[in-house]
Amino acid sequence: MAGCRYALASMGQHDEEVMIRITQLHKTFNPGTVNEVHALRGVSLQMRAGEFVSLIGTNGSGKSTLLNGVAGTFLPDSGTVEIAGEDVSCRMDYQRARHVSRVFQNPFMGTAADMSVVENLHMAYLRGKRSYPKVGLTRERREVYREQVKLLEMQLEDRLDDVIGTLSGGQRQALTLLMAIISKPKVLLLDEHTAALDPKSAAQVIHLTRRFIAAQQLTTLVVTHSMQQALELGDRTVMMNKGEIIDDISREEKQHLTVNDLLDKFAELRKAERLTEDMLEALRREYL
Amino acid sequence: MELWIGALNLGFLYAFMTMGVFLTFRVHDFPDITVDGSFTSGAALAAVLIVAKVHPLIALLAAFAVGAAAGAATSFINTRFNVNGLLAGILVMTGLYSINLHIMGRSNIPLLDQATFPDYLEAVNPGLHPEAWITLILLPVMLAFWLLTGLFFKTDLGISMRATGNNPIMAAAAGVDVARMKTFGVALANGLVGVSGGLVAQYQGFADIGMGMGTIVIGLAAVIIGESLIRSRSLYAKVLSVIVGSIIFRMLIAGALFLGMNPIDLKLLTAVFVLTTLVASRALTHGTGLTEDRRRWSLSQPIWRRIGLGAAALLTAMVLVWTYRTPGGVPNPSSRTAKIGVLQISDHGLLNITRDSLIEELARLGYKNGDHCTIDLANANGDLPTVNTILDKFIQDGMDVIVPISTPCTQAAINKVKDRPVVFATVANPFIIGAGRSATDHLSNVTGVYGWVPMDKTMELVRSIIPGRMRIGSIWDPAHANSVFNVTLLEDAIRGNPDVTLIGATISSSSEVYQAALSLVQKDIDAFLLVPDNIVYSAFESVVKAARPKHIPIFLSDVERLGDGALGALGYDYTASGIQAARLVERVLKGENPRDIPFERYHQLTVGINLKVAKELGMTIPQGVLEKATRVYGGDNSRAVLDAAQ
Ligand SMILES: Nc1ncnc2c1ncn2[C@@H]1O[C@H](COP(=O)(O)OP(=O)(O)O)[C@@H](O)[C@H]1O
Ligand SMILES: [Mg+2]
Repeated sequence: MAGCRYALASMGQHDEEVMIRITQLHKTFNPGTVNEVHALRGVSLQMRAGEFVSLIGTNGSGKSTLLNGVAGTFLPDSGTVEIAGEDVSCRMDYQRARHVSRVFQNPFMGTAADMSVVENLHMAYLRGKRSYPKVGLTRERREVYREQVKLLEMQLEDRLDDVIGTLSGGQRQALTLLMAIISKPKVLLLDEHTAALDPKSAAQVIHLTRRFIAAQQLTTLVVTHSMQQALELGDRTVMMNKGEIIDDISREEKQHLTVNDLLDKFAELRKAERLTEDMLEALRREYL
Repeated sequence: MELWIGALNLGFLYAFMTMGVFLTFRVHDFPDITVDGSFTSGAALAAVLIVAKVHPLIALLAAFAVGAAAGAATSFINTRFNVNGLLAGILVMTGLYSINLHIMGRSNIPLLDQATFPDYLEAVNPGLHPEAWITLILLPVMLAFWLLTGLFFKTDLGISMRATGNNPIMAAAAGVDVARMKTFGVALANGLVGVSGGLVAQYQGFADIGMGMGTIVIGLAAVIIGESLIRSRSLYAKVLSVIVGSIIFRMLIAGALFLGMNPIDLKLLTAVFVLTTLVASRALTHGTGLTEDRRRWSLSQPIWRRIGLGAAALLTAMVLVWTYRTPGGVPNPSSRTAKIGVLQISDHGLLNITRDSLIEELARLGYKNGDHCTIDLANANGDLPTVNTILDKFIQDGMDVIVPISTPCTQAAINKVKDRPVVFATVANPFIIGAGRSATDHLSNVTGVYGWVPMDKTMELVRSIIPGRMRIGSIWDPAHANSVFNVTLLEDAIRGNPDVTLIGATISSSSEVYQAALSLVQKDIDAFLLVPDNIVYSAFESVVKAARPKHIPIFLSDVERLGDGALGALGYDYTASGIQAARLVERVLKGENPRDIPFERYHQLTVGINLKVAKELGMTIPQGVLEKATRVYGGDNSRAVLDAAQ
C-alpha cells in the first residue's frame, strides 16, 4: 500500500467548510497483469459540507471506483482522502462507516436478504458503534424504526418482521436509503442507486433522496446515469473520463443548462481533445 | 429402552457440535472442515486435563478454548491470506492431527478410572438408571443452551454476525470488520465443537485420535435433518431445529441398528440422506431467481413448499431404512436362551479371524446362533459413536454376555457395560485401558484374552538367521497406541545388544509406506522388522516392492502375510484368541463370575519361514529354525505350502 501515507501537510489547516478533500488519487487494479486497469489517474476533488454533487461519465470511467475510494473498500496506490479534516486514506471501509454511508446500484447489495426489516434497520443504527452481546433491539427501538419506516410511505411499518428478501427491489432500495441516513452520517455516497429500478420506483426513491438530503444537509456524491437527473440533482456536476475529472460544472452554470447544452459541452470537450470521438458517441448513447 | 436413551444422550452431546456446524455452514455460509480436527482437539485436551485431576467443567472450558483457537486459525488463514475457506479448513484439520497427538502424547487416553462428568452425575444419582439420570440432567442444560443461543442471535453482536454471514458487503458498509467478525464466528463455532468432543470423550470413557473423523458430515446431516423437520422463521425455532436434528440423527442410526441394518452402510446412508435432502430442497426453492435468496434456503417459502420438503426428507429416511433392512436381523424378544452380542471395530483380518474362530468354537461348545442361543454380530466399521450405539442396543436386547473384539470396542464396552459380563478378545494390553491392574485383579464384570507379540522371540528368530552386526528398519504409525507399544517392546528386545541398531520411520497413512520403506533402504538396513501395525500391514506390498531390488529380507508378526514376500514371521495365531474367548464365554454362561476368571494370554505362537524368498535372497535358513517353524512356505519341493505343524 504505497499510497497509504498520512498527508502531514494538510494537517492542522483544516477548512471547516470542506467535508471531502480528495488529492491526486491513483488506483490501478491487477497491476502487472493482462487485466491491469488504471482506474483512477490522479483525481482531485473537494466538496463543501452540505454540498450535493452529481457525477457523470461513460461506463468504466471510474465513477464507482472513486466512490469506493471515498468509502474505503480499497486503499489507494497514492493520493489522500480526507473526510471532515481527517486523513482517512489508510482506514478500511468498516472504519470509515461511522462517517460514510452508501447505497449501491444493486438493491440486493445494501440489505441482508434473510434478515427482517427491523434487524436491517438495527444494523444501520449500529453503524460506527461496537456491537455487544446485549439485546439492543428493544420494544422502544422497534417503535423508533416503525416511525422512521413510515417516512418511506410504502406501508412497510406493517411488515417490520418480514424478511427483506420478500420485498420488491424498490422497497429494498428505499430501505437501504433510509438505513444510509438513519445514523446521521457526514457523507452519503449513492452509486446509480435507481438504475436497477422500474421508472415508478426510481422516481419514488429519487423523491426520498432529495427529501432526506435536504432534511439532514448531507454532503452527498451521487453517480447518475441520467442526464436529466444530473442536471436536476445536486449543486454541482462533475464529469469523469478514463479515470480523470474532465469537467466541473458549478451551481450557477447549471441553472441555465439544458440537456442539450450539456451535450454541447461534451462536444466542446471533444474539440479540446479531452474526449475522443467514440467516447462522445458512448456518452450520447448512454445518456440519451 | 437403553438404545433410545443412549441415542438421546449422544444427540444432546453432539448438539453442541451441530450448533457449531450450523454457525459456520448456515450463518457464515461456509462449510468448515476444521471441525473434524477441533472435535478431537476438544476431546484430547479435556481427557489430558481430566487425567491431571482437573474438574470436568474446567476441562470443558479448555476444550472450548482449544477448539476456538483452531477455528480462529482457519478463519485467519481464510481472511488474511485469502485462502479459500474450504482449503483453509482442510489445512488446519490436517495440522491439528499432529497437534492433537502432541496434546495427548499418544493416540488414546482412557478415562475409565478418572472423574468424568458421568461420574460426577452418578455420585448424586437418586437411584435412576444411569443413562436416564444423564438425560434428566442434560434436559435443562439443553434447554438453557437452546434459549441462550437463540437469545445470542438476537443481541447486537448476534445480529451483526448474522448480517456478516448473510451479506458481507452490507455488513462492511455498516461498519463491521467482516474478517474479524468471521474469525470470531468460526472460533465460536469450533469452540462449541471442542466442547462436544470433550463431552463425548468423557461419556464414552476415552479420547482417541480418530474420533473426529467425519464430524463435518454428521454435523451437516443433523443440521439438514433439523431444518427439514422444523421450518420456521423464528430464530428460536431454528436453534431448536439444530438440537432436534442432532437427536434425530442419532435416533436414525439407532433405528437402523434396531432394524438390523448393517452398520457398514451407515456412512452411505448418511451421505445419500444429506444429498437427497439438499437436492429436494434445491428443487423446491428453485425459481426465485435471486442468488441472494437462493444461497440459503429462503425462509420465505410458501407453506406447502416447507411441508413438501419435510415430507421428502422423511420419505427418504424411511425408504433408506426400509431398503437397508436385512431380514432375520430383528431380535426375537420372546426367546429365553443364551444371548451373545459380538462387536468388532472394523473389518480387519485379525479381527475377522478372531470372530470366526470364536463363532466356530462357540458352536462346538453347543452355542449355535438360532439353535440354543442368539449370537448378534455387529461391526462399527471404524465409527466410535456407532460402537456406543451398538452397545446400547446389546443392553436393550438383554444380551447375557457382550464380546468386544479389538481395543477400542473393549474400551467403550467396559465403560458403558456395568451390569452384565464382558468378555474381550484380541486386545494387546487390557491394563493400559483400565480393564484391570493385573490378570486376577480386574473389573468385576470383565474378563477376556489378550497378548502382545513377543518381540524378544521375534528378535531371536531374526538373529538366528542373520547373526553379526545389523541394522534393522521398522515402520509404524505413531498415532496408534498398539504400534507405539510394540515398538517399545522391540526397543527393549534390542537393548543390551550392541550389534543391533534400530532405524525407524513413521507414517500416518498407507500411501506413505512405500516412501518410508525406500528411505530405510537408503539408510542401508539389513532387514525389515515390521511390528504389528494395521496401516503398515495393509500396505505390506509397498515394503516388499522397496526391499526386493536390494535383497533385503522382511520379518513380521502376521503369519498370514508370509506368502506375500516376507522371509519370516512370528506371531500369535488369532484363532487362539477367538477360541480362548469362546471358552471364557461358556464359563460365564454356565454361571461363573467374571471377577473370578483371570485374564488369559494367548499362548499359541506360530513361526513361519518362506523358503522361496530365502532362495531369492540367497540366504540359508539354519536347520534349527526350520525345525521350530510351524509353517514353511515354498521350498524346493514344488508344493506351495508345507504345513510343518501337521
Ligand atoms: N475491483 C476491481 N478489480 C478490477 N478492476 C476493477 C475493479 N473495480 C473497477 N475496475 C475497473 O476499473 C474501471 C473503472 O470501473 P468503474 O469505476 O466501475 O466504472 P464506472 O464509471 O462505470 O462506475 C473499469 O475498467 C473496471 O473494469
Ligand atoms: Mg459504476
